[in-house]
Amino acid sequence: MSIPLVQINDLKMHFKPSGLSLFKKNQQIVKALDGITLSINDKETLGLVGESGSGKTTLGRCILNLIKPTYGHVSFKGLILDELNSKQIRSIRKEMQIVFQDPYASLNPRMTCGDIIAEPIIIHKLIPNKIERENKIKSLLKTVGLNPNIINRYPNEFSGGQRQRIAIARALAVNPKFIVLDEPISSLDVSIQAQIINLLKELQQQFNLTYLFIAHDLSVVSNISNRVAVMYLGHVVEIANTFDLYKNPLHPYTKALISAIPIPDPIIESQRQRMILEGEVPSPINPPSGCVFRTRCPIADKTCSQTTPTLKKISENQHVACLKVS
Amino acid sequence: MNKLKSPLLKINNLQTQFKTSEGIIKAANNVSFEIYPGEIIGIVGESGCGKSVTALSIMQLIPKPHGEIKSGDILYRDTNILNLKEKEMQKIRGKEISIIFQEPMTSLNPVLTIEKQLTEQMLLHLGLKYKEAYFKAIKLLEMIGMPDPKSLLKKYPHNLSGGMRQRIMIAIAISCNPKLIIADEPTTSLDVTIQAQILETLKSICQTYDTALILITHNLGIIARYAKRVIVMYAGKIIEEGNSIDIYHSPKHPYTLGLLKSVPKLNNSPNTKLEAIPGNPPDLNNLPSGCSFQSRCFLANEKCKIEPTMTAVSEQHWSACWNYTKLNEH
Repeated sequence: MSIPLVQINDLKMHFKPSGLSLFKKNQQIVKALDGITLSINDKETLGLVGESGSGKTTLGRCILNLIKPTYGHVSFKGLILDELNSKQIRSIRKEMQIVFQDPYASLNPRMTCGDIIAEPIIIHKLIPNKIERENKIKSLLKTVGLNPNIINRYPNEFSGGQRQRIAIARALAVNPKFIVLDEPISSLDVSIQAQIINLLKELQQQFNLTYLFIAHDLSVVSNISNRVAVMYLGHVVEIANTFDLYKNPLHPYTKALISAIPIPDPIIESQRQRMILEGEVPSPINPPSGCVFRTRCPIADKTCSQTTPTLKKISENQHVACLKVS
Repeated sequence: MNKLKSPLLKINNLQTQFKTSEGIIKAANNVSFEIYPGEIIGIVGESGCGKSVTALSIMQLIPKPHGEIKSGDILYRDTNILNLKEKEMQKIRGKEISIIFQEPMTSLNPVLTIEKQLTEQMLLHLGLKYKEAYFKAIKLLEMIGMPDPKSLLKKYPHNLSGGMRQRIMIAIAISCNPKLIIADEPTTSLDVTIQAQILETLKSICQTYDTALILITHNLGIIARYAKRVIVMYAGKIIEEGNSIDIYHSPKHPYTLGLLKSVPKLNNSPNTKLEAIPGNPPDLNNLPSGCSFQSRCFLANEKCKIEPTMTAVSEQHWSACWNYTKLNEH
């Protein structure tokens, strides 16, 4: 059996907010990630869903080694990223890329589309010959559904959807194995979102890519992912096959999340049971003791404040972190 | 049915335009619809379709001088509010018709306490003494489920989360018992579980006080959950209108159909192929003559070079498409 492409072990990311006095007795720490263990298999799409403060974006950046974890390891192709020297890291960076949420902020407005896509190729010294490089860029633009002639135009001449295609072309430029998609369609119009989702699926087939698809919208995540991990306040509370997660959610937070998402069908909606969560998400500076979800959980009891649940295998395809689920 | 009551608000042929360096944009182009007392209607469309501009036109908050309401009527209970002077409009805004904006971060005044912002309208419109307004503010906060109202009133917007700020916006909007609330993308910037709380609160308030609600959003799920009647907008125009079940189960405009097919649904099996609408959102500076949707439409033909008019496709269901009968086969 082959090892997973990406393996994360007990990852913790604790931030110290800046500007704190040295004399403060209790150092305030933001526990953005508080013990994440999961794996991403070759050629799969793992969906990562959670609301603000869940830590999903932080996790994406830790996996790419854009930030160093406080504790725990990220392995890529069996290599622990922390143990690599800068030359080895640079080489691995070719294999893992990212597409960001905001196509208006992630493309340098002073570079042409061609230069934007060429940049990673040049940095990694993949195609020294200028003509060959230009051919590669034109071919990438075609692959993402854009006219190759835009190579000398600037990003501000294009719509959000078109810019996101340029960002995807840039991510593909170095022939990566793994791409982190951090809310890649949230800023786009509804009718364009479907175009980009379909494009991502085609590219995955064509180039044998592995995706980590981060989003707050479970409907979108469910459409593209094989498995989905649900995060809450720095923890993974449930991870399952997409089908099982929707049909049989086990964690009370997953149930509430699914219930909160309106389905575009008034007949189905009129028949659904609503599960409305009380209260607000607690601050990650002072998360509740034991299970972080207990302050909003309809089935929490005293034991939930004493023990932090870990992911338990319920079936082949479903793991849940809840003391009340067996 | 509705025919027995007269409409609370009736908009006729609204034309709102903006002057830009590239020409005049018809942001709301010949918009007509009505809403009855206590009704919840949804206006759905993507960016640039004119839904927010319509809301701002009703409230007469269109930024001048580049924006102007060129023509049309907006009748609120038989008074054309477009003919009112600003002082008279102020008696309508906040008292008869309120609005909840999308961005609670920027629509609350950052330098005023919640107390000041919540009591402001009541003092202005209801002629209450300060103490009365203060107690009413506490009651409002309790009604929308805010813990510890007394200390909340002393806080500033930046002390609160996005969800709490939006709930304050709702409290302000209902403070003078308006007959109509316009909610313009009220939950777009909020988490899904908070969104659910807020929309449930808004719905229950509207039901309790028989307040009509215009819910404006690009989210087809929210409209399906809350609106009984739906208006679909594209490139500044209304292209379809009907009751919710007809719009979702028997859409009669290719854009509406395209939108419904392209939206991922939680109850679909994973990896269902989404049928995307080809092409790009319309450029309001460069619309084709005739139907604005034709360049992206699978039914487009010669007829579409002439602008379609809203036709009744069945009782209470209208569509602006010459070829809508071809949609029966889909």
